[in-house]
Amino acid sequence: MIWDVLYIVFQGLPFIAAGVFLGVIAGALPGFGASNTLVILLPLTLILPVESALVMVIGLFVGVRFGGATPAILINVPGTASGAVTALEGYPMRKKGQAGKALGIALQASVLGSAVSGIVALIAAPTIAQVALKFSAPEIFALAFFSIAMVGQIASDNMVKGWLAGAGGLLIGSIGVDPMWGIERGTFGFIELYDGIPVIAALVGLYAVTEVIFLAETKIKTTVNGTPHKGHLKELWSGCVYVIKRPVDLVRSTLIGTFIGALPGAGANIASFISYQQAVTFSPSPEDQKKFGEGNPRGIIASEAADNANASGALVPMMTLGIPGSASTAVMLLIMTAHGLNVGPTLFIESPVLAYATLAATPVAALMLFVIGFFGTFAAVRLVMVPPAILAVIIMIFALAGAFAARYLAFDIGLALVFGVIGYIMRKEGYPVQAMLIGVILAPVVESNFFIGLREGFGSPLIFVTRPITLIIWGLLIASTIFIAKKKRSAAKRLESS
Amino acid sequence: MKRIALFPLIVSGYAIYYVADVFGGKFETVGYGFLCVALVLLLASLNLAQDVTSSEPSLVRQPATWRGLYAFAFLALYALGQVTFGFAMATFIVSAGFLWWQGYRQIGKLLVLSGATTLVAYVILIEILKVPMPEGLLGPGTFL
Repeated sequence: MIWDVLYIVFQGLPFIAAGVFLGVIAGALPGFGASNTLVILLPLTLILPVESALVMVIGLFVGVRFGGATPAILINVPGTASGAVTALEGYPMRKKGQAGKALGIALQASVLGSAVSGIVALIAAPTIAQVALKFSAPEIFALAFFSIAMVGQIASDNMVKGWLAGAGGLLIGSIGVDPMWGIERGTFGFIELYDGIPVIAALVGLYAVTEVIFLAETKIKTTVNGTPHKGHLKELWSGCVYVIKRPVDLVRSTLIGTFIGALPGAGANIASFISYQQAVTFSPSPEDQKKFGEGNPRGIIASEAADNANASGALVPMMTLGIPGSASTAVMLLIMTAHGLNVGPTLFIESPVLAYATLAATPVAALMLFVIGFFGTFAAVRLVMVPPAILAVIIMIFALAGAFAARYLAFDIGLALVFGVIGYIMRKEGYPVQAMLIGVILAPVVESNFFIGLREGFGSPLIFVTRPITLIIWGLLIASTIFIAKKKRSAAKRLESS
Repeated sequence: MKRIALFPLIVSGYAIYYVADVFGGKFETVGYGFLCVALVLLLASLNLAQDVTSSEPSLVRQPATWRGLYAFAFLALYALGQVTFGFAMATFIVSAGFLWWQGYRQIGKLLVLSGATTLVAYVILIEILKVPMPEGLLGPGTFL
C-alpha cells in the first residue's frame, strides 16, 4: 500500500504545486481566503480525478496560509483571518525596512509548521479512525451535535448567537423529503429542493456572495512600499535561517496549531493568537518581551507555524469522523462526498490509499511551498495591489459558476443569492456563518443517527445520554461551554478596565 | 428606539413556516424538524431577550449600506442575465456595469477589463472544464 500512496502523491506533484501556487496567490489577495478560493475552484475539483483534486486542495491549504502573511506584513491588511497576528509583528518589521526578512520568517515557519503537523496527522488519523469505528448512532449523533455547538460558541462573541446560527443550519439542512417516509418538508413547493438543500449553493451564498457584497462596500486603497528589490532574496534567506535557529518556538507553535486545528470550530486565528500569547509568555528575557508589538520576529514564527499546523490538524476530525471543524475543511468534505467517498471512520477501510495519500500530500506540499513561496513572494507583493472591484468581479463569476456546476441547475444560482442575503445579514449582525454552514452539512448525519439511535434504544431518548462515550461527549460540551463563557467574561472585563 | 437584529426574526419566521408546512405528520417524518424548530425558537427568543435587555444602543454591529444593496442587485441581475442572455453575454454586461459603478469610467479600460474577464471565464469554465453554463432563452450559440 505504501507504494500505491507514494505513486498517487508522485503522480499528483503537478497538482500539489498548482495548489500551493494558487494558495500563495489567493492568500495574498485580501478577501479571497481558502474557502473562497476553494469555492471558485469547485468546478475544477469536481471534474478532476479525485486523487488529483484532493492533493491539489491540500496544496492550496498549505499555500494559502503563507500567502495570507504577505499583505499582513506589507500593507497591514491580513489576507486571511489568522494573518492579523502576523501583522502585529510583520508590519512593524516592514516599517523598519525588514520586509524581506519578515517574509522569509513567515515562509520558513509555514513550511516547517505544515511539514511537522502533516506527519503528526498522518500518524494520528488512522488511530483515531480505529477508535471511531466503535462509535454507533448515539455517539455519532452526540459528536455531530457537539461539533456544531462548539463551532457556534467559539466563532461568535455571544454563545446564543453562535448556537442560533448552528440550529438554523440544522433546520435548513432538514429541508427536502424525509429519509423515512419520503414526505417533503419546508421546500416552499420547489421540486429542486426535494433532494435537500444543495450544500454547495449554501456555501457559495454564505461565503462568496457575501464577500462580493462586502468587497463592493469597502474601498481599500493599497500602496506597497516593500516591493522586491535587489537584496530581497538575501533578506528572505536570512529570515529562513532565523527560524532554524529557534527550534523551541517552532515546535511549541506547531504543536499548539495541530492540537487546536483538531478541535471543531477553533480555527487558525485562535491557534495563531494562542501561539502568539505563548511566545510572549515564554519570552527568554524581559527585553525580548518588550519588543513584541514593535517587530519581534519570534511573533511571526509563533503565528505562522501555528497557522499552517492548524490546517493539518483540522484534517484529522474531518477525515476520521466526517466532522468538519472549519469552513475550508467543510468544502473539502463536500468535494470528497461529491466524488462518492464515504468520509468518516470507514474512509481508512474503504479507500485507505486515497486517505493516506491525502494526508501524505501535506509534508510534500510544505516542501514545495519552500520553493514556490520563495519566488512566489515577488508575484504576491504585486497582487496585493489588485483593486477590490476586480476581485469582486472574479469571485462573482466563478463562485456563481461553482453553484451552477454542482447540479447544472440555474435554480442553484438563485438559491446561492438567497443564502448570500442570509450570510450578509448574519455577518453584519455578528452571527457566525461557519456555524450555519456546518449545521447544514451535518444535518443529515444528525437526523439519520437520531432516528437510528432511537430505534437502538427501543424508542427511548435515554440512549443518547447513558452510554459511556456519549456521556463523555456531553460532559465535554458542558465543560467547554462553562470554560469558554468564563474566558469571554474575563476578556470582556479586561477590555472594560483598559 | 433600540435596533433589534434581523437574523433571529428571519430564522424564526422560517421555523414557523416549517412547522405549519408539516404539521400533523408522522414522528419519523416531522419529529426531527420539530426538535430543530423548538431549538431555533428557544435560542431566537433568548437572543431577542438579550437584545431588548442589553444596555447597548444597538446589537447590530454594522448597518447595511446602499452600496451593499446595489452590489446584491448586480448579483441578481447577473443570475437573471445568465438565464436570459446566456453566460458569456451576461458576464460581459454585468462585469462592465459593476466596474463602471465601482469607478472605472474610462470606456477603453472598462471594455478591455470586462472583455478579458469574460474571455478568461469562458475559456476556463466552458472550454477547459466543460461546464454547460446557461445559454439563455435565445438558445445555444446566440451569444457565444
